[in-house]
Amino acid sequence: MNYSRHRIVASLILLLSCFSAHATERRFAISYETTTAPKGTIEYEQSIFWERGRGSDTLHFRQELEFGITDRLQLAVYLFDFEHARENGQRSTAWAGSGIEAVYQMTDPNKSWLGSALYGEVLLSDRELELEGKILLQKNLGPLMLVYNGIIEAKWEDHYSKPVGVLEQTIGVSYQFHPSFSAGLEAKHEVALENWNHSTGNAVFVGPNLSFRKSNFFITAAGLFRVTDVPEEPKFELSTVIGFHF
Amino acid sequence: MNRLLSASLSLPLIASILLAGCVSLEQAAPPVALLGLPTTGSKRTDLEKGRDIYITRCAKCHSVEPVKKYTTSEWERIMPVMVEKTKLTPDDNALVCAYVSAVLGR
Repeated sequence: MNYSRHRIVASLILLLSCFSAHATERRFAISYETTTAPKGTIEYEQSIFWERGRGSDTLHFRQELEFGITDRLQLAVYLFDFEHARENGQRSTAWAGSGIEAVYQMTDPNKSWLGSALYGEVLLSDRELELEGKILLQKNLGPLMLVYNGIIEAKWEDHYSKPVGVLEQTIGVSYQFHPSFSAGLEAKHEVALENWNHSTGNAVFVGPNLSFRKSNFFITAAGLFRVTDVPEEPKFELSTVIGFHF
Repeated sequence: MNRLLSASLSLPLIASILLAGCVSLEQAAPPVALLGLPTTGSKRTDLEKGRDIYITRCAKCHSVEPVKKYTTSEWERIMPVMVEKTKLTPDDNALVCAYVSAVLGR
């Protein structure tokens, strides 16, 4: 119990430290845009993901450092993901993995008709390995931004013994009301395939997003409600990303 | 049913209002060829590079802002902040400033 409290306190301190610095921005909490960090910049992102299911709550924390390697290539390191879960009255906190991520922009959304990028991620913990690939698409219409992410994920859970495939797609629309404030909608469609052949059903989530940025700081949040009948999946998800860049 | 009907009617309406508020990229950051400047050769190439940086690096964190939305004095305040944020080199900064000045007609 003390262990989990210490971790929560440490995360809060880390979060508060964000507010005293400056930051940069994402307009979507679950979808990725095709724009990458400018060359030479370093960005810190703190993600907090809360999901509420039947008799369970999970809080997932991610601490991420992003590096703009070139104007088209961005690398990121997930320092120490951890989860704090409550299920049927039992609480637990566990390391959820560390990993790396790369995003390569193929076309810029402001120079081409459609922005596009490729995304790759590897996440490893003492219980599972995850490999994830995404195709990112983005259309800019002035202050209106539309994004689509097509995602395929291969996981080996339960100490790498149980293979699971996840096919996912997300869409997002965001309108920039002011350079400091955007709002819109995000949606996610997910199909999990146990052993790559048994599907638990089509889970669709929809909800609003809000993004605020000031100077070098940003905060973006999306609250997604499940709209399909897949009881195994959470009823509600809240994703929050707080970031600042150096 | 009524709810579904009103949702189907209001969504296109909201989309139309939002799209009506959209400024095209050409309006926000006019291509150098449309500026009507008697520039040729390296000067024109520099302005094109400046616009290129303006619509890519300067628009990584927000939509492409219409250049004419801000006055010269406002740009003089904005540019140093944005240069720091996007890590523009002094050369890139000079190119963007030249492009912004050209659009503002200075």
